[in-house]
Amino acid sequence: MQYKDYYKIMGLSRTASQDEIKRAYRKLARKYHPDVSKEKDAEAKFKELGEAYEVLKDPQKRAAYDRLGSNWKAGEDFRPPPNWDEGFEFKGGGFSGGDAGAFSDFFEQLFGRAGFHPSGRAQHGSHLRGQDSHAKIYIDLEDSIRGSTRNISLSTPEMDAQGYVKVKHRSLNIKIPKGIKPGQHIRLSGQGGLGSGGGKPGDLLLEIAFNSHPLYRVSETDIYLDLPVTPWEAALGAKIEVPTPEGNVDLKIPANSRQGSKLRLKGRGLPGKMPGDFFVVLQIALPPANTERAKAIYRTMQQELDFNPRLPLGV
Amino acid sequence: MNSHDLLPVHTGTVIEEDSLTLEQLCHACGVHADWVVSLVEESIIEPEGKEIQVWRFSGACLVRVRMIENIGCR
Repeated sequence: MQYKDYYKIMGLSRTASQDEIKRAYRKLARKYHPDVSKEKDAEAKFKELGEAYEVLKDPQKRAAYDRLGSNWKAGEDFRPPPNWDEGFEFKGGGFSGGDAGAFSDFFEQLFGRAGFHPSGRAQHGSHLRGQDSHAKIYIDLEDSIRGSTRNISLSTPEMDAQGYVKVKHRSLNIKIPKGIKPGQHIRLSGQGGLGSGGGKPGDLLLEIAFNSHPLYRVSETDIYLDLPVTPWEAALGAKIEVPTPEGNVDLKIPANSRQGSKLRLKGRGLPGKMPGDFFVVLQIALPPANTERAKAIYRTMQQELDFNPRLPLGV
Repeated sequence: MNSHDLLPVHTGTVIEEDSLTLEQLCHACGVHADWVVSLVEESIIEPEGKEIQVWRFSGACLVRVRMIENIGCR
């Protein structure tokens, strides 16, 4: 098998940018297109060019090709070194153009012979790992606080032997790790799509979302609670009992607290290496003026307190 | 006993922030690396790391790539 110098074929240096590769391909494709070219061997050159572009335009294939080193000469007898592709998983990663069947032995030896798919979506050839599948699951805040095991039901559309799409249902028990955040993913190895030709199955990626909670809101790793307080608790300060997901705690409200003030309980948010915080947002609740006594107290406040909340508005 | 109790319990691994390589992201979404590179070039997704070899994508990038793919913006 002969080594092919893809950079030489495209007239580029090994340091060419992706843009330069694209431009060189366009220029040379016009020059060698068999329908228009007057060059000798135009068809062979056009195929060679397509193959070179297939590798160099794909950052992963290019990086792997580069790893073979620059000491090879075009046409030199070539065998890929062992483990040359360690850390690169692109086999069957898709061919977005050209006639994959026309590629050289050199190309096939390196990158395999995967099927060509017109949409350009990665397509799996033989002995290849299955697709990763995705699902979004909803858990409760408490599942993340304490860690838990949840049963989830998944519906997966699958093609049967006759080519009809059928929805397959399955049930899985999964462990919810303590401290997982909304938007994070859990990877379940081997629970994704089946591989082909004996290839390993793909993974199942579960995106975590939280069910809405009657008391708490979650933002990243922090938990928020809107806490109703009386005007005198906010004004004079108080020690009050506050619910948290891990049980009630006594919280000191400082005197002269304002509506919307945030009080932080450090480290009482979602657990983890960097635990979140628990925020109490004060919501001042007004007692109704529904008795003569209550009305009298409000009138006293009106007379005794020099208070205009609209002062910042200039009225 | 609930029938679910008889099923084995699967323990997965949490994909930490900025932990997916370009190859893992491409495989997870079934897309080509060059298309993902173009999304990065347009700042639609932003990996950690300057060089392509050290790019690391977050779970949020994964969600965004899948969303764009699902609505057919390719």
